[in-house]
Amino acid sequence: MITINLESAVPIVEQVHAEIRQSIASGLLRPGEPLPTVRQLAQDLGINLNTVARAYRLLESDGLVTSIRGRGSVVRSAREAPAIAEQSLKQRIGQSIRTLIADARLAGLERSELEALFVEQARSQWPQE
Amino acid sequence: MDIFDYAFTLCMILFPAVFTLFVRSKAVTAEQQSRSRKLGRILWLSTGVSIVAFLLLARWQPAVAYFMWFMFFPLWFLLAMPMLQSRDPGWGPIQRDVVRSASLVRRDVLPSNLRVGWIAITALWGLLLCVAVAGLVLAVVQPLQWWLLFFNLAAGAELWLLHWAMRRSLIEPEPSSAHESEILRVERQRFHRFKLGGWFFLAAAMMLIFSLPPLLLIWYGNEALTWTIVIGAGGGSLVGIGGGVFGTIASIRRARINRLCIEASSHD
Repeated sequence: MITINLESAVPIVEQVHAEIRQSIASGLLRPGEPLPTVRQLAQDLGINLNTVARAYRLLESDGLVTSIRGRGSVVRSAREAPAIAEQSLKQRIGQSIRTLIADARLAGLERSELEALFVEQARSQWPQE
Repeated sequence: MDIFDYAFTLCMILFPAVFTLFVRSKAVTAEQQSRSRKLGRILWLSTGVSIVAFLLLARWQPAVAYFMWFMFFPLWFLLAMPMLQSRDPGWGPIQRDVVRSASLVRRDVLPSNLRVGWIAITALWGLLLCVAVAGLVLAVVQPLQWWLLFFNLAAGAELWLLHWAMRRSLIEPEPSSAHESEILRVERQRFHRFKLGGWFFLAAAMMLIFSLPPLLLIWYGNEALTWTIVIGAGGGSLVGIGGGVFGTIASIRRARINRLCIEASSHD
């Protein structure tokens, strides 16, 4: 299940994209599993078809989802996903963390608060196996 | 006008107003209650006027009077529905919160457990068609009337209609509360089963009504004429009533799900 907030400062397309990414990362959506049709998701969330379609295109460009004729959008298996070089992956994550830190500082958060928030999210989203 | 025409027209005119009596009022504010009472009065008054008009027309213009059953549509859509919505928000459009959730399970793919149903209904059509063709090939009744096969073939369109209706049912908007409640999930699953079962039942009944009369004529000729009329008119009416009941129950269940969703959202 994905949840979006219409009053959030984050654009809806990014929220949908991030929520589905999260579902794939956590294993809720497994490789080969079909995503709901654009129409279904747009109707359920009460948002524009184009917003969902854009989120799906972003997922495709991430290499997480592939579009198969007759089956719609399907979660890609790790084998099919384009291999991302470790160096480039670390660069992308580093960039995301830098953006997060900048947002936190602009919002006036203390470093300890941000660290606590990070640990809390990591624990809930990525439980230890 | 015969007694059936009278009964049918009166039932159709009365149905919207009588139906509202069975929907419990959940209007909480004084404004909602007063709106509900006002719409109720207008609905009953309009129903009364329609009945009087029907009885007068039945006396002097019987041919026109029968068409008074069309009053069902304005009475239902223009008066009864707004009244139901004022009594219970579940009957209104899907209530959406600022925080919205949706399932990531794709619903337009027909569940695999329905394959048995599909095989059964396709086999039923094939069987009826084969029996009809056999009657014509064996020339049981003369003269041969190959055109009767058209009805058996047309019954096959039921399969396409069934597929279309089921897909439409499955992709019906299904909003969730941000913290999905178990009752809501169970209720939605029941609704799905009810809808799919209902479509199968109606499709099978329609197939029999389309296929059996020509089949009887092929095998028994004019001797079966009475039975073809009974099956065509009686069965057709029963399926019509069944479809109406199915649609009404579906609306009641849809309203219940909407209400549960509103309650779940207010608890979030």
